Amino acid sequence: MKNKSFIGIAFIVYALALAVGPYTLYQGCEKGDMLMACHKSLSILLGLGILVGIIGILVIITKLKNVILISNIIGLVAGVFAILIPSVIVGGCKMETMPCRTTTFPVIYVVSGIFIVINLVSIFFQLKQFKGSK
Amino acid sequence: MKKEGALKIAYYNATCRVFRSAMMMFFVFMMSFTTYTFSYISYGTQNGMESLSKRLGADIAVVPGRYTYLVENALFRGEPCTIYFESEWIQKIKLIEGIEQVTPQLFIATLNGADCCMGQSVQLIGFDPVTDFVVRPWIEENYAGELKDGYVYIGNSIAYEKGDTVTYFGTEFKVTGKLEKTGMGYDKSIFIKMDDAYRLANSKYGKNYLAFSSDGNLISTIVAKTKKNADTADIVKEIEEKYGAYDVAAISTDTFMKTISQSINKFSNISNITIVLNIITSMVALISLFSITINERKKEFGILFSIGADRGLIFRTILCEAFMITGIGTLSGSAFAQIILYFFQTLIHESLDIPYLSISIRQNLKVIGMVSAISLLTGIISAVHSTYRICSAEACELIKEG
Repeated sequence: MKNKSFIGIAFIVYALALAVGPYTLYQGCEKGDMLMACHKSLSILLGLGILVGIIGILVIITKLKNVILISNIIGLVAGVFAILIPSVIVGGCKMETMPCRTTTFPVIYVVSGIFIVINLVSIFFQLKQFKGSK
Repeated sequence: MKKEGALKIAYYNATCRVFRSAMMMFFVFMMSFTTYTFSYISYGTQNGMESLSKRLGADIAVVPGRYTYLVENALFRGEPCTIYFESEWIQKIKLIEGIEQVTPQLFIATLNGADCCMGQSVQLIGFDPVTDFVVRPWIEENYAGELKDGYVYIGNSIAYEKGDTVTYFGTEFKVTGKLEKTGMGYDKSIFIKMDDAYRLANSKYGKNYLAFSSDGNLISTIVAKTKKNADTADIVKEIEEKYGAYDVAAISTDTFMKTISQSINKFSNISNITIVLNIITSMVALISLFSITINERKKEFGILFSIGADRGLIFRTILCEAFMITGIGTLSGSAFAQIILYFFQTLIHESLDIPYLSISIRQNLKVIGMVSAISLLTGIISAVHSTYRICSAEACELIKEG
């Protein structure tokens, strides 16, 4: 129960970091007439953040068996994608001094890294528990 | 009992009391993180300062008086500016006693997000390949041969690569090469030949957007080298006395360097104070935590003594525990600091407002060594302090007190 709440909260915090943070705390580049690559990346991350947030709520409210393990696997994939979207798949502004490259993306990389580690540790303990119960 | 026994007991002690161990690790983590981060940035600013003194290459810069701050901002922070004055000043400055060599430079800021200019606004620096003694030696360190017409060298922070075509004021240029990182405004500048700068200013867009006429008689700054035994301060004074009334100002690079050096010293002092305060706080916290824990475990040690464990084993056990906790704390703190510094290095550079250049592997190893030594020493001092109190008591006394 305690683990479920922790994982659920971690998912919701990460969802906020992806969906709300880039528009409030660590804002990206200003939107002009042109749609820049960083805006596309942030839009996709917003969608990903909403998805992660929904999973976080589901983890807290549902009583399904293995819900933590399944959500951890999804979280792991989401974390990897959150890093790959701004760095490889879509990218950001070319100039390294632009706000997206100095602040927004680095925060997303660090937060995603921490989220991946949390999921990996949780998967490890879930599998250990799973083996133990067998 | 063997030495391995101490390690095993220490391991069980640490893993059985996860919260206590995690708290102690957290203090070491914070100490390593702060020490590593501040030391790293201090080294970075020193590197930036060295790079700056290497790259300025001139003793005096003569600029239009009211725009001195713009030149400083362009050189140190890479904030683009367009300034100009008459090129006839070159001859006048050349005639001043003590001046050995002069060369003009032209600063043009490109337009941000305009149709005629690519990307974000950058600083174009036009230099005269015939007389230049500032930019050329630096370029020649990386690239051989003359810069051809229509070609440019770009600063390290600009995203384009060799072979790319860049367009400014509707004029296309080919990128010949990317210059090495300097930690100053040059990283966000593009270097072009003076003739190309005039060609660009003469273009349709240049005429529309640039405020100056482009007949080749305008420059932004005259950089000068003084003769070996000449007094730079006297020459600066002479230029200001002679031509100050015509809105011409002279800046000595020594004064430039002094100002920057003072800012770096201020930063170093603040960072040293922070490191020392952090070490003291962490040390006090660790000693307290160790003392409280050891106090709680008096009975355990008393029993160990009574069943034949010697004082050496107890000392080794506590020391191993301290090593484990400080070791993991130091490693994780340094690694996390390295990750943060790697991802946020541009932000740190931009926020510092002083030249900053990332540190070398050798310097990095030095910082890691220093952080590890401080953390392990803190752990050992905490452990020795606690062990001394336990080892000096009798077994029955410890069992009674526990």
